[in-house]
Amino acid sequence: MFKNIKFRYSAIALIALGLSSCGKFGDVNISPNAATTPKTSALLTNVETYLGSDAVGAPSPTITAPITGFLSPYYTQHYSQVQYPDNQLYPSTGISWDGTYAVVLEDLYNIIAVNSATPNVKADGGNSINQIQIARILKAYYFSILTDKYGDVPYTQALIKKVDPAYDKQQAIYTDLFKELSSAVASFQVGVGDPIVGDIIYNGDLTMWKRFANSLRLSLAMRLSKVDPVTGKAQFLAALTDAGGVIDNNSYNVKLSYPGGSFNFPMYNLTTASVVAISKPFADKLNAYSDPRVFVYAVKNSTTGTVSGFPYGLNRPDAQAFIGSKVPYSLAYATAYKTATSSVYVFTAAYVDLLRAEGAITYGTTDDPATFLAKSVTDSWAQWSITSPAITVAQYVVNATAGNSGNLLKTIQEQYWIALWGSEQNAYDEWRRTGVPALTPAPDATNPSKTIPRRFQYPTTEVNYNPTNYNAAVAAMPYGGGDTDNNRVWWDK
Amino acid sequence: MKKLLLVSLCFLLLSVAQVFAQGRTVTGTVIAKEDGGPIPGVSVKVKGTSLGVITGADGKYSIRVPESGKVLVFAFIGYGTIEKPITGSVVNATLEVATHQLGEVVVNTALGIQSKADNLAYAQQGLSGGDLTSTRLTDINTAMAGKIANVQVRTQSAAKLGSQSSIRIRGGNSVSNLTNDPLYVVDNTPIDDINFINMDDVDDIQVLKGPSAAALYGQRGSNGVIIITTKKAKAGRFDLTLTSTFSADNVTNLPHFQNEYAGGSAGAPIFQTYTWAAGDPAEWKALDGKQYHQYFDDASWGPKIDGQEYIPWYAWFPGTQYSFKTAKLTPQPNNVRDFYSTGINAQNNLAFAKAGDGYNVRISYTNQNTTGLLPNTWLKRNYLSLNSSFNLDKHFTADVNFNYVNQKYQGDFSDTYGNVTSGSFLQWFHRDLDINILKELSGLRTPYGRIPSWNLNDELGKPSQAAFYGGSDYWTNPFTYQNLASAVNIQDRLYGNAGLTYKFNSHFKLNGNFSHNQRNTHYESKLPSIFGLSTQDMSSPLANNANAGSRPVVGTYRTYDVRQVENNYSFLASYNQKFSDITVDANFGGNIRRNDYSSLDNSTKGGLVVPDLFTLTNSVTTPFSFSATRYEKIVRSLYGSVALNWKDIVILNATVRNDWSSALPVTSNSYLYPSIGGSFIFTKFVEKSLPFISFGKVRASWAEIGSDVDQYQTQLYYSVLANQYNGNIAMTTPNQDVDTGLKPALSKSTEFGADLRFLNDRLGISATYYNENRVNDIIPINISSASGFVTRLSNAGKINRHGIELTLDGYVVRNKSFNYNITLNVARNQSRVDELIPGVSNLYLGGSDYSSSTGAAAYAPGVWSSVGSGYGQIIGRGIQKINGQNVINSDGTYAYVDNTKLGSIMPDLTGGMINTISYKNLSLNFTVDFVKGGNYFSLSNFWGGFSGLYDFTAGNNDRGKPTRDPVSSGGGVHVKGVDATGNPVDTYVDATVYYDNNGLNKINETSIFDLTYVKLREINLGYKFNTKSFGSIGKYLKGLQISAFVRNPWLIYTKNKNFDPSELTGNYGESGQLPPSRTLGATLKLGF
Repeated sequence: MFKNIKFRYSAIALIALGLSSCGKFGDVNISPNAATTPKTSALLTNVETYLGSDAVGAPSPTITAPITGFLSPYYTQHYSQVQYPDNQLYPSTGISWDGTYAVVLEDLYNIIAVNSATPNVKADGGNSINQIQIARILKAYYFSILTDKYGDVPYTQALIKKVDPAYDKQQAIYTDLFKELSSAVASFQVGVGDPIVGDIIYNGDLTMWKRFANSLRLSLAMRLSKVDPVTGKAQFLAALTDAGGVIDNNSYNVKLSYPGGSFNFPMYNLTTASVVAISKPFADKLNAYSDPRVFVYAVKNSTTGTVSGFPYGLNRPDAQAFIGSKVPYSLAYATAYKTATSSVYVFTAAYVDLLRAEGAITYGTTDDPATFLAKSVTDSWAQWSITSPAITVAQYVVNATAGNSGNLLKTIQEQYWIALWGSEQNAYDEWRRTGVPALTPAPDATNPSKTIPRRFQYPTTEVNYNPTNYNAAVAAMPYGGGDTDNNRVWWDK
Repeated sequence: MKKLLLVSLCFLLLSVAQVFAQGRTVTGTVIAKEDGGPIPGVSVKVKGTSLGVITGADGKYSIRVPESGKVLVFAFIGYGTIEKPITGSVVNATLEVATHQLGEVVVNTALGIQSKADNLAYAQQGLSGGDLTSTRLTDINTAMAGKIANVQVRTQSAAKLGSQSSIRIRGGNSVSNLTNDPLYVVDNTPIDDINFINMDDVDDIQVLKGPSAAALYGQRGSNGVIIITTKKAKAGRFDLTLTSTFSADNVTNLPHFQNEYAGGSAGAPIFQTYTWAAGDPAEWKALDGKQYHQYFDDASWGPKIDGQEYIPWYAWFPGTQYSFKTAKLTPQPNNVRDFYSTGINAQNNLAFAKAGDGYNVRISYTNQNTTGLLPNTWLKRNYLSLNSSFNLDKHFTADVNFNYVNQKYQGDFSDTYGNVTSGSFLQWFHRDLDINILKELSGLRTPYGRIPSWNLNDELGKPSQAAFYGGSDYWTNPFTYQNLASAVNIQDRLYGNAGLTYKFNSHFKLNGNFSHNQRNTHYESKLPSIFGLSTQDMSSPLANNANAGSRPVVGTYRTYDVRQVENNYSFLASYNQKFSDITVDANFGGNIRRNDYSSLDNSTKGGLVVPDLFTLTNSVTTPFSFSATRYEKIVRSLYGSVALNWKDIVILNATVRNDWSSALPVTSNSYLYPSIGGSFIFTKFVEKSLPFISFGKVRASWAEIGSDVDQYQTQLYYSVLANQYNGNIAMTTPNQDVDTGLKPALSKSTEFGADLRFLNDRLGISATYYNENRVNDIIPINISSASGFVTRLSNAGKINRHGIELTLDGYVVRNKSFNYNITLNVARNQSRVDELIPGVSNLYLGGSDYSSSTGAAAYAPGVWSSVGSGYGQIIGRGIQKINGQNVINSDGTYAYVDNTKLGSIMPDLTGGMINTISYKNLSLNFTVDFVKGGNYFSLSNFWGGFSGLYDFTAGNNDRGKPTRDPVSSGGGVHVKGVDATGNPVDTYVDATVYYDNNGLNKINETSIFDLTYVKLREINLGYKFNTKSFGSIGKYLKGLQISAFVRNPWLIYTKNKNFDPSELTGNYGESGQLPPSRTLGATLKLGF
């Protein structure tokens, strides 16, 4: 009987307990593995660790060991694929932008959002206002890479969790990027509040960020040289005359110096993989000018003491036939420049020098083009630690100018191609804009046009997940045509 | 099984009052015809009276019979009824299992509630007894292959030790998952890994296919439920059984390789001449002027194999009988086959069982020892189980079940792209390699201490720089890898339940149950430093095994530990009462489920400082790679069911369940779902008019099932990333956005069916139609990443699945000594995606393990759910078509189109046939299963064609000239189609161009194959000795049974014989998987 009662009570108690508290779980569904609020300095560090990827030619910032994924350095013919040629044959397919939008841009958006919405977080990671400006500059940088790759892309409706963001015209994006960069430079509170934490590029030096913003603005302004020279010139001059200055010294370079270990220089893998060589057209040009950089960009043959390129744009049978012929060729990056702790040069003084040299001619600034051309060579050699070159800068400039039949503008423009090794996205942008040098497409190209791609095709995910806006963007391509790789972005007139 | 269940049922009737009357006493023993053993619980009645007794544990009875009594009636459910005249004071009876009293079969349904099989309102199919034990099947899933309608079983190669086969019931339920595993429940304990179920202990399997059957299990039952009942002691008996199985596995179907051309690059020249030069080793002078092929290219586009003299890969290294000697280039048609060993498996089980007055106990121990098909692989398992029940007093019964399993295996069985054995053989290999020499030289080292490989690295096309020479370009010697690389996985599993039942009276009882399921896994892998020294390329499979993304591995040590626990606390109140013509069965219960998980995974990074010292602190880079995670989740439930039975003619069932899940938002974490069903057994109404119908039933049911999500999905989490950058921590915004208004998902299913049996049960047919709509499925929907997120977890989508299941059961021959029964089942399931979220028409489900991370080159297709065309669409790069004709580019290659639908992974029809033949004590069983329709993608075909391994890349073309000859001399691949404007094109394309750049490298369509197959799964031949005839031995030896079996004897039909579609590794298809195998074995079973 006692047992009976006990059971009845427990059954009733169990049911009652169940009904009243079944839906309450306390903290059970709160993950012990992660935080619910981000630390903005940690987001900034994360974004900056990816800065090297686009620079070395990966199609997305999250690809940090890009060997097989390179795109732009094949388009500019810096590299040739040796063993398994695919991307250098222009496979004509959509390129994912997930890494840019969903990783780096969303992190930057979050830095701004957290600092704007929650004043209490200010102390975390440094002065909130300054954190916001750094995030704005990096955001402008990544959006400029996106729009330069694809053309019109989601901008105003991007990053705000809208599942089907509309695309903005590239021109409108450029207008806003100029505004963002100038506004960010103007909004810094130098010396006010806590110093910035987590900045692995400039260690929180705000004056450096101003230089980067102004230099980036210079390059974007130059990109409009054909399509909108009026705006281009105005922005160029404004950037050049900004009190913050530009990157005019190698010590101001935006570069990512890898610590090794968990974060290795992306090209470190090339130490052991014989898959990427310096391409023949590029090596031939460097050799023709006796450019000492050739021994930085490729492995010197131990017997001949020279660097020779691998024929560009071969398919696998042809590439294998070439290997079989035993003609020597040089793998990309000299050994000393692809160690685990080598640096990636994202935005350099040599580049800014060349922009100023060209700006003097194209936009009529007060700079002297020849001076800045020479300075660019000096800076570039110094950047690669070339200390005792076999040729003087002056003689080199003579060689390069002769190579372009005395055409100074063309000589400057060709130097983008040469100096921007390792800043591959910029090299590709400048080649598209200037058309210098004239490059022959891969003989075994597989894309329908058989020409060097002028843009990235939109990711296939957009076709599937954002079809309405994708179709509208394709229909509104500035120069007609479809979502092909030989269609051109707005400024690439 | 039947006997067992019924024994226990009958014990419930023991309380029937025994009535004594005047007269004589009759005694006797009732035995079973099947094994001669006594049957307890048999009802013995005096015909024409209400007098009756029940046999005791020893099968004996004693009854007082009045003078008028002339005949005794012996009855036992499942054994039929016999009458015996009372001829003296001793009347013995022998009862025979009633083969066709299906109506009497009692089966376990949800939550262990028992029901007559004939009364069920939904489709439920089972396997028991002989169906299971005859072949000694490897696992529960394999046991069901071809036997249960609408259960698609995908077994795995016997080479993959420790892996389990997968099944899909009714095509699976989720729109967003490629895996649709059902819930497995062993004696009330939910289990997630069927490897830990000892097949020697399994007595009965019941498959609850749809929501109607599984409604009481709730969300975990939405993909179906498999209820496994283990063996229990038979009342009144002591049994000791010893079962021993010995079997051997051999590789069967391998692809058809070409044996005409040796390894080498697709480009000319095919042979190179070695010229000795100063600085080269002096011994190499012997090879001066001799020719060699391109070792560094891991393809087989090299020279024609003509018996010519050449320098084999091993000739460059000193210290062997082959050093510095040329060899003849000869075909090696069996090199892949000969790589694999014969797998040996020995399995012994010892089981004791005893049941007596108020208790039953069974203890079983199994030991399994397997050596694998791959060199240096093995598996050991020990199973120990206890199954017991005790009546504590008149009211209390305690049940304790306990299983301990220990499993340990060695080997790397990840048969994906880059697998050092099968991945190489099927995708990247030299067809001319002598496998015996590879084996013989697996211990060879170069003078510089490297492992020489057949795939020698050779940057500039000639063996130079002897100091570096001898490493592998991509692949190492597979024997060396198998011998030196180790991966040991140890798992300890404890699961079981303890329950206490209180029986208030014959109508009402209350049960409380606790079940526990715990798995502890310990894993260790060691890759000796020498592989790093001997590997040149990042894309090497060896690199893939460890810290991909950094540089080549110079030795790795990885270890991880996982602890998983699931506890369930439940109660169930049961009420059963008969009111004149109506029987009421009601149950009410509740459950609290709690899952806890923790893991710690560590690995050295960048290599080992002290070579081959396998400790974490010996990592070159610190911190070494580590990750740790843990979670917990709780689901609380209340449920109830009512069944009303009117004279076994009309049966109505209803269930209702409410779940509260900790993983859902607090505002919507409660969800309630009902089910209702009914059966109408019309046998009685047609007895006269349609006498050939021995049983007839129609049934209908409707059910809902709700589901939740995994834990921690309802808000954004920012984890601190594993590595610090110069002392700075990094965090990132997650890529999956969260819908804050997440609701539980719901499946609604309607089911109709009929079960008919004819001609005294000689023929049976069962048919089911089901139609299920799943709404508000919780799916990580892919969204435009410009939103800032790649996916969003939200309620979206409508998926419908519907289909029919047919089972036909019949006796070709049925008589006393000879029986031949065939059970045929066929099912058709169709899935249709009606809606995802507005604007989104495709949902990515997954893909091959070799898809380009950049999307820059479409190496492999993905599997999608597509609105309008359904679940499991293979979408990839197809050949452009104009009016159905292939479009050919000017260079003779195919033009292609991305995002082409290339087929569906879901078959149109699945089914099988079970054949059971018995002649006296001899029995023969064989099972055939088949799949019709559906497609798969073969990554091996894709790469193996590219690298010239398969027969289709060689041979002659339709001009009678070798395909691999230049087009100019009559060779080439014949390509027909149209050009971009639709004009006909008829041309020949260089084979290397065709297979290299176009056919296979870029286009997925040419590697899509038909999933259709017909396969003879198993054959079993058994003989049961009549031990009674053994004289004095027979006294102790109660049973002796021997059987011989074959598993996978014959892949009868499939279109592309290179691969076995019944054993695909990935849901999307094939990826370089380990080879199919055939198992031959014998079992000896002794009973004492």
